[in-house]
Formats: sequence, structure tokens, C-alpha cells
Amino acid sequence: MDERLRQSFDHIRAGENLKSRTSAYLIRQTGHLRRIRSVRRWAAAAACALALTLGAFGGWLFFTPVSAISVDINPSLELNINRFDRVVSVDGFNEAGNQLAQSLDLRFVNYTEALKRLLADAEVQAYLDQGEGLSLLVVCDDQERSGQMLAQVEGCTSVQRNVHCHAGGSENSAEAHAVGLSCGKYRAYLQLKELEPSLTPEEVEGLTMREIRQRIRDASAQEDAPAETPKPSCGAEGVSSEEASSKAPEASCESKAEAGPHGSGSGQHGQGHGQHGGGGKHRGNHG
Amino acid sequence: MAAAITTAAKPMRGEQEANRAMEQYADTVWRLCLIHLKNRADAEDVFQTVFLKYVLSTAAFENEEHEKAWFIRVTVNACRDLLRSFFRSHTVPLDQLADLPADVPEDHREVLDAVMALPAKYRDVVYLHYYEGYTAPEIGWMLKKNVNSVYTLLNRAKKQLAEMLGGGADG
Repeated sequence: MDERLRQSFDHIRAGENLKSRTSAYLIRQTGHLRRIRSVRRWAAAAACALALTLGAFGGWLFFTPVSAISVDINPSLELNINRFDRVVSVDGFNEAGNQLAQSLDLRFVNYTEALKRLLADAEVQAYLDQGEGLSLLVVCDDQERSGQMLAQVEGCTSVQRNVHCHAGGSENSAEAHAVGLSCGKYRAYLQLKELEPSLTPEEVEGLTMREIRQRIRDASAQEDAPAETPKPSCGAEGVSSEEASSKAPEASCESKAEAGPHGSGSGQHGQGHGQHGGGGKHRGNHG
Repeated sequence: MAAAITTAAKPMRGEQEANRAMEQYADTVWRLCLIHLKNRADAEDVFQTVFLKYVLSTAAFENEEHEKAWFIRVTVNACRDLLRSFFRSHTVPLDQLADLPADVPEDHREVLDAVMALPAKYRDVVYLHYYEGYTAPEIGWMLKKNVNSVYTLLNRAKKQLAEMLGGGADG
């Protein structure tokens, strides 16, 4: 029986045709699967590449500053701001500026919040109480954005005295940073240099903004003394037409109390303002 | 002596490996399919499915015996799955005759017809024991059956075959 069964089963064999059909079937199926796997692999790789690209682009978008606010009182620092109005880095331009930048957590907050934190700082408040002028310069090449930022900065500082808000382009930024000055201080330096051609950036570095402005006023007063007719006030626009035409792209807003808490410098204010090249509004808060 | 076949699992086996396995196990797989399903078309479907599973399988085999046991187990399971499928159970007549090759001598055809007349669970064990030479414990391990059940199936199958073929069951 065993042998009969064995011999009988032996007649059942897989024919060559069956094997050929099966081979063809396997090639078809595995080729299809390989294609699917290949497509999936490529899709996964493409998705990863896209995610990386988007991540890198997003990172670039977020971490690239498009504007800055130069904050100068005696501590001198710059807030670098991205297109989403967030502070992405803070650069100090003197020792006090570095210390202030390190003591305050300003990164990744909205620049208005950063300014509020700065103004609330005890050291800054102490400077303001001593009658030092705080200069806030919005550095941005996009005029529309610059105007919006200046309005925001003004809003943040509306209750503060001795605050000067300006806006301007970044054309002097590289030069300013090359000589170790913030944009705001460099701008003041350039104004003073027009009146005192021998002035060097090193001399300005140690001066407070109030001292620089005082020197600008003094030098201007000396220059204009014979024909000087002091302007009563900077008025709504705060600048003479001659000055305005020569500095048209810039805007500034300056506190009336700039010369000190006692308002003693109001007569000079118009000059200082004009020298500063601003075409902005007059806003202030008398002490 | 069985040689070592594969030592490492791979994502998908190549054409060469598939052809080698087909040369080696095609007859075993085909007989199991035909004996279990009694239908050439279904048997061919399962035959192709088994080799596709092999190509896609990541299993690593210790030797040829291990690989052959894998083929037997996968074939029997695939046949059972087909018979269990709703579509087939509602479309194939239960009394369908075995679709045996035409060139089988009369004497052997009679034996094969007798085997095909046995219930499916008997046919597998008869083939594995009498043709492939597996013992009851080996068949039990491969088909996930109790060893005593395999012995019982073999004895009953033998008895029924002897009745159908007119004695000589002890042969």
C-alpha cells in the first residue's frame, strides 16, 4: 500500500508551464511591489526634504532681522527685529549696554514688549530720572513698516519723559557697527561731526546722548549766533521746511523735556530737533 | 545533508532565489494544493500565492528541511483559507471530482481517486506520511495538530483506503 501510494503521488508533478506562469506572476507582483515601495521611498524622501526646506526657510524667515531699534541713553544697544515683530537678538555697544542686554530677557518677545521691559528697568529709569535723554531709533528700509514701528514705539514711550523717537534707513548701519557705535549714537555723532569736523567716534563712545545733544546745541548756537532767531517751538511738525526738505525720508518724535526735567532747554529744542534731521511729530511730557 | 540556505532576513527575495525554491519545492507544493483542493484552477492560485509569500517573506531558514516545512505549512494554511473563503464555499460544488493529470496509469489513478475521496484532513496527513515520509510528530508540528490526532487520522485513512482499494493496506 505504501509503495502504491508513493508511486501514485509521484505522478502528480508541477509542470514547466505552471512554473513559467508562476515565475511571470512573481515578476509582475514583485515588480509592482518594488515600484510601490520605490514610490513610497521617494515620497518619504521628498516629504523629508520638503520638511527640511520648509524648516530651514521658516528658520531663515524667523531669525533674519529686517529692522532694528537702536536704544541709546548711556547704555547703548540695538534690538534686532524679524518680520514677525519679534526681537531675535540684542547687541550691546558699550559695557552698560551689554550688561543691560544680559540682565533683561528680550529675545523672541514682541519689540513693544521688549521696549516696555527696557523702560521698566531700574537702571534705565535712573538715567531718565537724572534727565538723560533716551533715543529710540527705528532702523528699517521699508518706509511703511518703519512708520508703523515708529508709531508703536511712540505708543510704548508716550508716558515717558526725555524720550526721542526717530526712524531712518539702514544705510549707515554697517559704518556705525564698524566703529563700535549703535545706529542711534552714530547718527548723533554724524550730526556733531558736521559742526565739529575733528570729532572721532571714540570721543562720542563715552558720551551720553544728552551730552552729545548738548554739544550739538552748543556748537549750533555758536555757529548761528549772529543771525540766530530762535524758533518758538517745533510745533506740530517740529522742523523747519529747509531742514525738513533736506532730511525728508526720516521721521522723529522728540520729547519736550529732552533738555532736562526742568524744561530749561525748550528754546534749544527746535534746533536740536532740526539738527537731528527729524520730520516727525512733537510729543512730550513735561516734568 | 541539508545545507544552510539563508542566514539573514531580507526585505524581498530575488528572482534567482524564487526560481531555486520553485525547482526544489514546486512538486511538493503542487501535490499538496491539488490533493487538498481537488481543483487545478484553485490549486494554481494557491501555488502562486505560496511562492509570492515566499518571495515577500523575511523568514530566515536554518536549512533545507526548515525551508521545506515552511512551504508545507504555508501551503496547507493557504488551501484551508481558500476553502474557508465565503466566495468559494458558495460557488464550488462540494462533490467536484479531483482534477488529476490525464497521463496517470489506471492502477495509480485508482489509488489517487481513493485518496481524493478521503476527507481533506485525512488527505494531507496521508500524503505527508506516505509520500514525504514525515512521522506523526513531525506532521503534528507542521500542521499544528495533536500527535495523537495525527495517528488517529493516519489509521482511519489507512482503513478507509484499504476498504476502497480492496485490501493490501498493510503493504
